[in-house]
Amino acid sequence: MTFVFYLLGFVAIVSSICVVSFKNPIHSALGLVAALFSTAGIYILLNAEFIAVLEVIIYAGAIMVLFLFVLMCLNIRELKMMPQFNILRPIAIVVGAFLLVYIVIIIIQSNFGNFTGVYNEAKIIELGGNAKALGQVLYSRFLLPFEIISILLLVAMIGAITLMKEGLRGK
Amino acid sequence: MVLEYLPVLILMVFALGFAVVTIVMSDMLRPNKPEKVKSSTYECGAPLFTDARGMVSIRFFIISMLFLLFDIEAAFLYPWAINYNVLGLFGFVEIVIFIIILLVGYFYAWRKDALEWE
Amino acid sequence: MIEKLQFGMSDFVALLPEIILCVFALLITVYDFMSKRTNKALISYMSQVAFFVTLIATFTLIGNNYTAYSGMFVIDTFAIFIKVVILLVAMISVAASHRFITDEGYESGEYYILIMFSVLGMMIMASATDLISVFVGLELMAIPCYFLTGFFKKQNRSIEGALKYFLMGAFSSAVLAYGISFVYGVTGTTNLHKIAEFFATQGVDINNPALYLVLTLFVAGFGFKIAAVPFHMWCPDVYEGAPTPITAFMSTAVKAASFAAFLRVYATALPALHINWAPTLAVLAALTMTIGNIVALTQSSFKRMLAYSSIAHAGYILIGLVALKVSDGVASVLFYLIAYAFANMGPFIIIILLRTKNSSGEMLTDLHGLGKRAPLLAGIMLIFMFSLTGLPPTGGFPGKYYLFYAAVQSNYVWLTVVACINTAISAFYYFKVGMYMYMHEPRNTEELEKPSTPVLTALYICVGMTLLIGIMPHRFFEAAKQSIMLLTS
Repeated sequence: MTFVFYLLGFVAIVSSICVVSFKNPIHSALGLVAALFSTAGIYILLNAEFIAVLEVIIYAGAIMVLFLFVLMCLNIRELKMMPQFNILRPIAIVVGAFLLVYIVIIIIQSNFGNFTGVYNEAKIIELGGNAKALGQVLYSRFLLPFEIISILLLVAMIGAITLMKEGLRGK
Repeated sequence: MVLEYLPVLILMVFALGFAVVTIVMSDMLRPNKPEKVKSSTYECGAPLFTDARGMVSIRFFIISMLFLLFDIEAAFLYPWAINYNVLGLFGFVEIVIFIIILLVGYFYAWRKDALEWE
Repeated sequence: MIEKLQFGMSDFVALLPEIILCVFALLITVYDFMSKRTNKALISYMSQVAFFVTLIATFTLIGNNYTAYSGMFVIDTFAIFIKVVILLVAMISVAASHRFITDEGYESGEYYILIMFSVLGMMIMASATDLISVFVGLELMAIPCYFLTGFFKKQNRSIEGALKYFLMGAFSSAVLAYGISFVYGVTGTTNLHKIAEFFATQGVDINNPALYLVLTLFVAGFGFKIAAVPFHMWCPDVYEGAPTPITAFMSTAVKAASFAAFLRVYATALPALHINWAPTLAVLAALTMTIGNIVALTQSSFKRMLAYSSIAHAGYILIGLVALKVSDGVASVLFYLIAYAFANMGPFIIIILLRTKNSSGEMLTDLHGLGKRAPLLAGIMLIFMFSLTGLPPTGGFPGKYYLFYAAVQSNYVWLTVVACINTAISAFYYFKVGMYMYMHEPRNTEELEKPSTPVLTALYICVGMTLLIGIMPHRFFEAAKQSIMLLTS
């Protein structure tokens, strides 16, 4: 099981690096799909199969399609690096590397609390699986964020259509 | 519990492997003698003046964005549907409020011509 | 089912102002798309009615103090105070955009609808007692602001501002979510009171490095929203590119709501870690004030200068956050938020009034000779500049006084000295405005168009409140002190 985790983690990291370093944006999008699938695999290892399926359906299924449509609309052939030397690029690399080392050391050395809440593995299996347990929590304890999310989706719709109105009429 | 998903992994490996193996094997087995004329794009013999990428209409983008938003709505409906009897009347009212708010969004998209395909 | 389903009348009543605002916003959306010939001006009035009814509903909740929705939402005086400020700011912005949007050619009802939803998000943030609610409220506040910044689609700077705001805002929300996940990892809960309880019972393990990471990520996430210094780069471009009433709205209401959430998270959940985060915030405050004020000296666009000045004011407010343990620290933050809100909206409204056919009214050269062109406007502008500098009898003076007093009481004297020096620096560019208005000849001699009544009313309310807060600060400060009494319980 740890071998599978290391394999999936490795694929996720390598494909994420590919996303930011490929020149052709379509190749970057494919790298992102690979990263999303490996993240979904890691969720399955954590017994969160519903989240894994949602990741594939929504993230790799709808969001990546959106990305690809935008990339096709924009019609970029190949991204070019900025030719002139910008002082910010080495500074950003240094800060990014420092942040990476900082976070890795913290995760290795810190002790996350050993608490087991109500929803341990046996309880979730008794409730009928990850999706059922999630549903029971989501619609009772997290009622308020749930309703606010519906308004959030509505706002995203209204805003996006407002910005694109001129492209719609008269075509 | 996790081992129950092993068939999914095997299926993915087979699907990926099938695609990769056919392409790689056919690439290795065929003769490869590229010439300049052979590897240029074919356009019924006429000379080319632009590449194949045209302007994709913005309609595709709007439809896929609306698909994304309603897909997320459906994803919220799945866990509710499984727990329908446990959540009872209160859960029903709560999900109806959720759907009504998104229904307003749907009618908004309809009336603002976002769903037109012309 | 494991989770007890608790929903009673008190939950419904607690959320009543938000429900009213949401229902009004939905009805206005339905009205907007119902027919092709909707009257857009009517939508402006309907949104004012909505804000007014919500304000009344908020006032009726005064005196309550309880948590609702399984600990996600709270009604206490702090939340009501912030909500009243935000609703007043929203009403003034909507009044100030009367005819502005139409004259620029972008008339639509979505403008008001998006403002209403953003206010809804701010109200959720003000009352949120769980990190999940804070996050969801933050997103609901921010997303309409991204669209509103880019509302003037044909102007390059508007779209540019929207893109910058969106990219950086999305990234900072991701950083905040990462911090929330680490808090969950360390304490096992996202509820602010339960986190405080965890630290109280289990003791703070200073050597637990995850806590440092949490503080770093939270500062990054919240610091972006309030435009504190290493995270301020988006602010001038966004404020300059957005339509002027939206800039007024964002620079006051968004800052107020973000500070409210910042304050609540730090005062309720993390007071045990005060020794860790207070020095960082103090340094951040000093940097923010200094950089904001110094760069504002060199601007030639008045709107951009006001953007940098609002960055500097965020620095002053951070001082109050550092002085959290002192009894007056939090109250001074609230007081300064209300004084700053009215004083900062005023200059933006005057920029709207200075718009003519050939000039946008937002460069400093448009202010030359305003004393001769429009003496009333120049006098009002002078009052706002006094308030932003911190001179009596305007609201800025008691605001700064309470903040600096709180800082001295909590032994951050160096911070107070830096703040006083910065006030002196800021006086340079605020008085430069006064000098241009009264001692220079007008460069732009066009006739100013007659201002419409709603815009004038908005302006008079701003200047009236500024003077009122300056002359009678005790009333407002007592209200602010009332608000914080139950914050840390």
